[in-house]
Amino acid sequence: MTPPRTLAALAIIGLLALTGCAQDPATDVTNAAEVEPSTPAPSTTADTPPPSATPTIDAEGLVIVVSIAKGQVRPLGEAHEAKVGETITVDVTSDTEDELHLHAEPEETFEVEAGTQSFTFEVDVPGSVSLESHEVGGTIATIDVRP
Amino acid sequence: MTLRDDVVLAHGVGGSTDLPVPLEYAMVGAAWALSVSFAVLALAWRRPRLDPSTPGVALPAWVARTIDSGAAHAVLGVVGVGFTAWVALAAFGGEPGPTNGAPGAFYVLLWVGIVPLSLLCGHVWASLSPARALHRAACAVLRRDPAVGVWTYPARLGYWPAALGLLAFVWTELASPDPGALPTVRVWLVGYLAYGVVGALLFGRRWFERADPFDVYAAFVAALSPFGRRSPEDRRVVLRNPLSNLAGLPVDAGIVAVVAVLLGSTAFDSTTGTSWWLTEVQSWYAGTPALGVAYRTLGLLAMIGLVALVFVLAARATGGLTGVQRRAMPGELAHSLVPIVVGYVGAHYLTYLVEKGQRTAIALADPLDRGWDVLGVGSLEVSYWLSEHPHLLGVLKVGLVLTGHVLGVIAAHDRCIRLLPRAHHLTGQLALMLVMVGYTFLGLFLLFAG
Repeated sequence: MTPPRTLAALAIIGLLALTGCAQDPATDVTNAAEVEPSTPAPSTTADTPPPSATPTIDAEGLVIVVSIAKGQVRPLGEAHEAKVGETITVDVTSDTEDELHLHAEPEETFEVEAGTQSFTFEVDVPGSVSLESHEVGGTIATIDVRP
Repeated sequence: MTLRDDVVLAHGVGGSTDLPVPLEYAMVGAAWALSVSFAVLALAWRRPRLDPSTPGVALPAWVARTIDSGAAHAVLGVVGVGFTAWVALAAFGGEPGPTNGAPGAFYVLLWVGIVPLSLLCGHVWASLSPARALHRAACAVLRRDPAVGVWTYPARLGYWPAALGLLAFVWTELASPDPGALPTVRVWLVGYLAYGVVGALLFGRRWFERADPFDVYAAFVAALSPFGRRSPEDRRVVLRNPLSNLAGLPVDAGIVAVVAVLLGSTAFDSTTGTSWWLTEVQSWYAGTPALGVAYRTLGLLAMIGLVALVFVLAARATGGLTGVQRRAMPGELAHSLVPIVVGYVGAHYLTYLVEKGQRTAIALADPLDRGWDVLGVGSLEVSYWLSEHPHLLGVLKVGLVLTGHVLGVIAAHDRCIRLLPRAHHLTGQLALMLVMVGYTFLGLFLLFAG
């Protein structure tokens, strides 16, 4: 291969690599944005919030609804956004005792009893915080807390 | 609110993780990685320049004299053993929970801290390592030469024992049922020291250089430091181009496995934070801890295997070599992944080191929960300045990944033109360069998605 032809081939391969690989993150972000907030029942219109997002009407800030039943925690890995200092409420309906861990700075623990209960907290240090069921097991939600 | 002692903590130390890097930062980083790679391929030097035997700038002779003196070894060894003993106090005598500093000392100070330490100071771990220090002490008592053991270290083993040790460590941290539990830390503390001291008594100092996971990790990163020796005979300490030092990283069997474990495990750590893993994969195992361990183990092995396989295939994809030479190429090129490992590990664990490191230091001021406050450290507060500036953090992270990538590509380019016949200089390194670009794209994507 003569040098100019080699360079041309390289340029083409480079271009292919750029367009090919660069698309992955972009498609993933649109997928994430479309799919995640409406995991249980996809909502049809933008101005109707998904049913799971606001079952508790009087709570301010982010509300996360959790069900623990028959050894299963729902949801799993739900993605949320919040601000530093925002009140975050976790509504838990459970048929068993469990313990929820909030992996934040500092760590927090909530004792769950059979029945319905809710916990509130706020996060002071920006970061990606996860809420986990300790006994039944599973990462329930991640909350990206921004300053 | 207090934590119970059986709390499972992410990474063994708990707390939050970094916010995702903004997409546009990752995209800009990816575009730069790609263009710089091809600029290096097309425009950089055509004759090898990176040579570990270049003279460098010699530091005054007393520097080498001090570093190599028995007193310096003894002092650093006492520091290493003393600190380990302090951590052991917390691991064996302290209350479990977030106020215990032992898991942090293990997963943050040792595992992550060893990277900047080695990068800035060279292979100082060789003096600080508690296993090496205890071995030196044992040899002094037994009146033996620490360099030699009962047998010669089997040459064909190469770095494989270290690679397996590193795999065991990353499995403990990322896949095992309870990485943050004190019994886990105790097993590693005792097991590692016994493994190092007994192994070195049997096989001599070579054991540390090839079989000790933390020592090998430190040595690989230290190869990228600006410090080196003038030559095997002239032991003066010199400053030279880190990439020239890196070119002197000893090639041995299993070298690719070592870098693949380091790179693959960090990528796997990010993967378990993606929404794909948390919503999809997690639904396959949630509620059954043993199944979770199995899936995480599989995922970890798959990621390390993928990193290794792609690298080996790409490094061999060149013309103009005999079969034997071609088989040697992955090992000859493995050093070029060290900067990529350092850049990615640095990006991935930066806040972890800075913020969890502070928390660990504060916890270690009172290892036995008796209200001690050694050096006044225990009354300090953790500064979350870095987390509070996520945009700056994003720039730093992408910058670290990009810097590692560029240095890796240069190191690979130089080694390729040294080893490949002239006609294959460009085409012979093309596949490898694309793989490196792929690693970096994956790394940037995971910083954005993980």
